[in-house]
Amino acid sequence: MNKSKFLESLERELKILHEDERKDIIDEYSLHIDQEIEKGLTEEQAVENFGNINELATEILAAYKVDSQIMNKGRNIIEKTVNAIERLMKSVSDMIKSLPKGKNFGNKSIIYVIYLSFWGIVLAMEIAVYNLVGKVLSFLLGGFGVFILVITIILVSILMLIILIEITIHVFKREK
Amino acid sequence: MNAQFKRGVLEMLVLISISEEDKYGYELVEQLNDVFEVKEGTIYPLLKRMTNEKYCDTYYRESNEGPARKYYMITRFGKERLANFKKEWLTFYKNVNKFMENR
Repeated sequence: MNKSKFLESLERELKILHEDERKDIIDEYSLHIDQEIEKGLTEEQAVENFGNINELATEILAAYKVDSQIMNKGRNIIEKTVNAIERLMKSVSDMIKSLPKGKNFGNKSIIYVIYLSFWGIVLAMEIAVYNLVGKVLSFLLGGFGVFILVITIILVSILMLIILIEITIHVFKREK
Repeated sequence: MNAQFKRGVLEMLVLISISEEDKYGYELVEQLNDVFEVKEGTIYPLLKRMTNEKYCDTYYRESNEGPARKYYMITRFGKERLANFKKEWLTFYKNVNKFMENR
Protein backbone atom coordinates (compact mmCIF):
# COMPACT_ATOMS: atom_id res chain seq x y z
CA MET A 1 0.00 0.00 0.00
CA ASN A 2 1.32 3.47 -0.77
CA LYS A 3 1.43 6.39 1.61
CA SER A 4 -1.59 8.36 0.44
CA LYS A 5 -3.79 5.27 0.36
CA PHE A 6 -2.66 4.30 3.86
CA LEU A 7 -3.32 7.76 5.27
CA GLU A 8 -6.69 7.96 3.53
CA SER A 9 -7.90 4.66 4.96
CA LEU A 10 -6.58 5.51 8.40
CA GLU A 11 -8.39 8.82 8.33
CA ARG A 12 -11.60 7.01 7.43
CA GLU A 13 -11.15 4.63 10.37
CA LEU A 14 -10.68 7.55 12.74
CA LYS A 15 -13.80 9.39 11.62
CA ILE A 16 -15.19 9.49 15.14
CA LEU A 17 -12.35 11.72 16.32
CA HIS A 18 -12.48 15.50 16.12
CA GLU A 19 -11.10 16.86 12.85
CA ASP A 20 -8.17 18.62 14.54
CA GLU A 21 -7.16 15.47 16.39
CA ARG A 22 -7.38 13.43 13.22
CA LYS A 23 -5.33 15.91 11.23
CA ASP A 24 -2.73 15.99 13.99
CA ILE A 25 -2.34 12.21 13.82
CA ILE A 26 -2.29 12.04 10.03
CA ASP A 27 0.30 14.84 9.77
CA GLU A 28 2.55 13.17 12.32
CA TYR A 29 2.37 9.77 10.59
CA SER A 30 2.87 11.38 7.19
CA LEU A 31 6.02 13.11 8.38
CA HIS A 32 7.28 9.88 9.90
CA ILE A 33 6.82 8.03 6.62
CA ASP A 34 8.63 10.84 4.76
CA GLN A 35 11.57 10.50 7.12
CA GLU A 36 11.68 6.74 6.62
CA ILE A 37 11.72 7.26 2.87
CA GLU A 38 14.60 9.74 3.23
CA LYS A 39 16.45 7.05 5.15
CA GLY A 40 16.12 4.73 2.16
CA LEU A 41 12.98 2.74 2.85
CA THR A 42 10.39 2.40 0.11
CA GLU A 43 6.94 3.90 0.64
CA GLU A 44 5.48 0.41 1.01
CA GLN A 45 8.02 -0.64 3.63
CA ALA A 46 7.49 2.54 5.64
CA VAL A 47 3.74 1.98 5.60
CA GLU A 48 4.12 -1.68 6.55
CA ASN A 49 5.88 -0.68 9.77
CA PHE A 50 2.58 0.73 11.01
CA GLY A 51 1.07 -2.74 10.78
CA ASN A 52 -2.53 -3.59 10.04
CA ILE A 53 -4.70 -0.47 9.66
CA ASN A 54 -7.66 -1.85 11.60
CA GLU A 55 -5.47 -2.83 14.54
CA LEU A 56 -3.72 0.52 14.40
CA ALA A 57 -7.01 2.41 14.40
CA THR A 58 -8.30 0.25 17.27
CA GLU A 59 -5.17 1.08 19.28
CA ILE A 60 -5.46 4.79 18.55
CA LEU A 61 -9.15 4.87 19.44
CA ALA A 62 -8.40 2.92 22.63
CA ALA A 63 -6.16 5.85 23.60
CA TYR A 64 -9.33 7.95 23.59
CA LYS A 65 -11.22 5.24 25.48
CA VAL A 66 -13.24 4.53 22.36
CA ASP A 67 -14.02 0.85 21.98
CA SER A 68 -14.11 0.20 18.25
CA GLN A 69 -15.74 -3.18 18.82
CA ILE A 70 -18.73 -1.55 20.46
CA MET A 71 -18.81 0.96 17.63
CA ASN A 72 -18.89 -1.90 15.15
CA LYS A 73 -21.63 -3.58 17.15
CA GLY A 74 -23.71 -0.42 16.93
CA ARG A 75 -23.12 -0.31 13.20
CA ASN A 76 -24.16 -3.98 12.94
CA ILE A 77 -27.39 -3.39 14.80
CA ILE A 78 -28.31 -0.56 12.45
CA GLU A 79 -27.41 -2.68 9.43
CA LYS A 80 -29.45 -5.61 10.72
CA THR A 81 -32.46 -3.39 11.35
CA VAL A 82 -32.24 -1.90 7.88
CA ASN A 83 -31.91 -5.38 6.38
CA ALA A 84 -34.91 -6.63 8.34
CA ILE A 85 -37.04 -3.72 7.12
CA GLU A 86 -35.88 -4.36 3.55
CA ARG A 87 -36.76 -8.03 3.85
CA LEU A 88 -40.17 -7.15 5.23
CA MET A 89 -40.84 -4.72 2.40
CA LYS A 90 -39.71 -7.30 -0.12
CA SER A 91 -41.90 -10.04 1.30
CA VAL A 92 -44.91 -7.70 1.29
CA SER A 93 -44.29 -6.77 -2.33
CA ASP A 94 -43.69 -10.45 -3.21
CA MET A 95 -46.98 -11.32 -1.59
CA ILE A 96 -48.77 -8.67 -3.61
CA LYS A 97 -47.07 -9.81 -6.82
CA SER A 98 -48.10 -13.39 -6.15
CA LEU A 99 -51.76 -12.46 -5.79
CA PRO A 100 -53.90 -14.27 -8.36
CA LYS A 101 -54.92 -12.17 -11.34
CA GLY A 102 -58.48 -11.47 -12.37
CA LYS A 103 -59.99 -11.53 -8.91
CA ASN A 104 -60.67 -7.86 -8.54
CA PHE A 105 -62.78 -8.16 -5.51
CA GLY A 106 -60.22 -10.35 -3.73
CA ASN A 107 -57.36 -7.98 -4.46
CA LYS A 108 -59.26 -4.95 -3.37
CA SER A 109 -60.30 -6.48 -0.08
CA ILE A 110 -56.69 -7.48 0.58
CA ILE A 111 -55.62 -3.91 -0.06
CA TYR A 112 -58.33 -2.84 2.31
CA VAL A 113 -57.00 -5.18 5.00
CA ILE A 114 -53.43 -4.02 4.46
CA TYR A 115 -54.60 -0.43 4.53
CA LEU A 116 -56.43 -0.88 7.79
CA SER A 117 -53.63 -2.82 9.46
CA PHE A 118 -51.11 -0.20 8.35
CA TRP A 119 -53.10 2.54 9.98
CA GLY A 120 -53.65 0.34 12.99
CA ILE A 121 -49.91 -0.04 13.37
CA VAL A 122 -49.32 3.67 12.79
CA LEU A 123 -51.93 4.59 15.34
CA ALA A 124 -50.59 2.15 17.93
CA MET A 125 -47.06 3.41 17.33
CA GLU A 126 -48.16 6.99 17.65
CA ILE A 127 -49.93 6.40 20.91
CA ALA A 128 -46.95 4.51 22.31
CA VAL A 129 -44.44 7.07 21.09
CA TYR A 130 -46.55 9.95 22.27
CA ASN A 131 -46.91 8.45 25.72
CA LEU A 132 -43.25 7.61 26.18
CA VAL A 133 -41.36 10.24 24.26
CA GLY A 134 -43.97 12.96 24.70
CA LYS A 135 -43.60 12.91 28.45
CA VAL A 136 -39.81 13.10 28.29
CA LEU A 137 -39.81 15.78 25.62
CA SER A 138 -42.42 17.94 27.26
CA PHE A 139 -40.47 17.64 30.49
CA LEU A 140 -37.21 18.62 28.80
CA LEU A 141 -38.38 21.15 26.23
CA GLY A 142 -41.89 22.10 27.29
CA GLY A 143 -44.43 22.93 24.59
CA PHE A 144 -41.74 22.96 21.93
CA GLY A 145 -40.94 19.27 22.53
CA VAL A 146 -44.57 18.30 22.01
CA PHE A 147 -44.64 20.40 18.86
CA ILE A 148 -41.60 18.53 17.46
CA LEU A 149 -43.18 15.20 18.35
CA VAL A 150 -46.46 16.05 16.63
CA ILE A 151 -44.61 17.18 13.50
CA THR A 152 -42.57 13.95 13.51
CA ILE A 153 -45.70 11.84 13.86
CA ILE A 154 -47.38 13.69 11.01
CA LEU A 155 -44.30 13.16 8.82
CA VAL A 156 -44.19 9.44 9.66
CA SER A 157 -47.90 9.14 8.87
CA ILE A 158 -47.43 10.86 5.51
CA LEU A 159 -44.52 8.52 4.77
CA MET A 160 -46.63 5.48 5.60
CA LEU A 161 -49.44 6.83 3.43
CA ILE A 162 -47.05 7.28 0.49
CA ILE A 163 -45.80 3.68 0.88
CA LEU A 164 -49.40 2.47 0.96
CA ILE A 165 -50.33 4.45 -2.15
CA GLU A 166 -47.31 2.96 -3.93
CA ILE A 167 -48.46 -0.54 -3.05
CA THR A 168 -52.03 0.22 -4.11
CA ILE A 169 -50.87 1.60 -7.46
CA HIS A 170 -48.73 -1.47 -7.91
CA VAL A 171 -51.65 -3.81 -7.35
CA PHE A 172 -53.93 -1.87 -9.68
CA LYS A 173 -51.27 -1.89 -12.39
CA ARG A 174 -51.12 -5.66 -12.11
CA GLU A 175 -54.85 -5.93 -12.45
CA LYS A 176 -54.93 -4.02 -15.74
CA MET B 1 7.02 -11.31 24.62
CA ASN B 2 3.62 -10.80 26.22
CA ALA B 3 2.02 -7.75 24.60
CA GLN B 4 0.71 -6.25 27.85
CA PHE B 5 4.08 -6.64 29.52
CA LYS B 6 5.92 -5.23 26.54
CA ARG B 7 3.64 -2.24 26.48
CA GLY B 8 4.29 -1.54 30.15
CA VAL B 9 8.05 -1.70 29.66
CA LEU B 10 7.76 0.38 26.51
CA GLU B 11 5.90 3.08 28.38
CA MET B 12 8.65 3.16 30.97
CA LEU B 13 11.33 3.46 28.30
CA VAL B 14 9.43 6.28 26.59
CA LEU B 15 9.15 8.12 29.90
CA ILE B 16 12.88 7.67 30.56
CA SER B 17 13.75 8.88 27.08
CA ILE B 18 11.62 12.02 27.15
CA SER B 19 12.63 12.80 30.70
CA GLU B 20 16.19 13.26 29.42
CA GLU B 21 15.26 15.33 26.42
CA ASP B 22 12.13 16.25 24.45
CA LYS B 23 11.79 13.95 21.44
CA TYR B 24 9.70 13.65 18.32
CA GLY B 25 8.08 10.39 17.23
CA TYR B 26 10.66 9.30 14.71
CA GLU B 27 13.53 9.78 17.17
CA LEU B 28 11.71 7.74 19.79
CA VAL B 29 11.03 4.87 17.41
CA GLU B 30 14.71 4.81 16.36
CA GLN B 31 15.96 4.91 19.92
CA LEU B 32 13.59 2.25 21.25
CA ASN B 33 14.40 -0.05 18.35
CA ASP B 34 17.88 -0.39 19.88
CA VAL B 35 16.29 -2.06 22.91
CA PHE B 36 13.81 -4.37 21.20
CA GLU B 37 11.94 -4.46 17.96
CA VAL B 38 9.10 -2.04 18.16
CA LYS B 39 6.67 -1.05 15.45
CA GLU B 40 5.38 2.41 14.65
CA GLY B 41 1.91 0.95 15.01
CA THR B 42 2.68 0.34 18.69
CA ILE B 43 4.61 3.48 19.57
CA TYR B 44 2.35 6.14 18.11
CA PRO B 45 -0.89 4.92 19.72
CA LEU B 46 1.04 4.56 22.98
CA LEU B 47 2.24 8.16 22.72
CA LYS B 48 -1.33 9.22 22.03
CA ARG B 49 -2.59 7.40 25.11
CA MET B 50 0.20 8.81 27.29
CA THR B 51 -0.62 12.31 26.03
CA ASN B 52 -4.32 11.86 26.71
CA GLU B 53 -3.51 10.59 30.18
CA LYS B 54 -1.29 13.63 30.76
CA TYR B 55 1.95 11.72 31.32
CA CYS B 56 3.42 13.76 28.51
CA ASP B 57 2.60 16.92 26.63
CA THR B 58 3.23 17.91 23.03
CA TYR B 59 4.29 21.02 21.16
CA TYR B 60 5.44 21.86 17.65
CA ARG B 61 8.94 22.99 16.85
CA GLU B 62 10.20 24.16 13.47
CA SER B 63 12.88 22.04 11.85
CA ASN B 64 15.46 22.95 9.22
CA GLU B 65 14.35 20.06 7.06
CA GLY B 66 10.66 20.06 6.21
CA PRO B 67 7.59 20.92 8.27
CA ALA B 68 7.37 21.48 12.04
CA ARG B 69 7.75 18.38 14.18
CA LYS B 70 5.63 17.33 17.09
CA TYR B 71 7.73 16.97 20.22
CA TYR B 72 6.87 15.03 23.33
CA MET B 73 7.85 16.29 26.77
CA ILE B 74 7.35 14.67 30.15
CA THR B 75 4.93 16.24 32.64
CA ARG B 76 5.16 16.31 36.43
CA PHE B 77 2.55 13.59 36.46
CA GLY B 78 4.68 11.57 34.04
CA LYS B 79 7.73 11.93 36.27
CA GLU B 80 5.76 10.54 39.20
CA ARG B 81 4.66 7.61 37.07
CA LEU B 82 8.22 6.99 35.97
CA ALA B 83 9.43 6.93 39.57
CA ASN B 84 6.77 4.33 40.41
CA PHE B 85 7.58 2.34 37.30
CA LYS B 86 11.28 2.24 38.16
CA LYS B 87 10.56 1.02 41.67
CA GLU B 88 8.24 -1.71 40.39
CA TRP B 89 10.68 -2.70 37.69
CA LEU B 90 13.61 -3.04 40.10
CA THR B 91 11.59 -5.18 42.49
CA PHE B 92 10.41 -7.34 39.63
CA TYR B 93 13.92 -7.66 38.21
CA LYS B 94 15.43 -8.56 41.61
CA ASN B 95 12.76 -11.17 42.29
CA VAL B 96 13.16 -12.81 38.90
CA ASN B 97 16.94 -12.94 39.31
CA LYS B 98 16.71 -14.37 42.80
CA PHE B 99 14.32 -17.02 41.53
CA MET B 100 16.71 -17.97 38.74
CA GLU B 101 19.80 -18.08 40.92
CA ASN B 102 18.13 -20.37 43.43
CA ARG B 103 17.62 -23.08 40.80
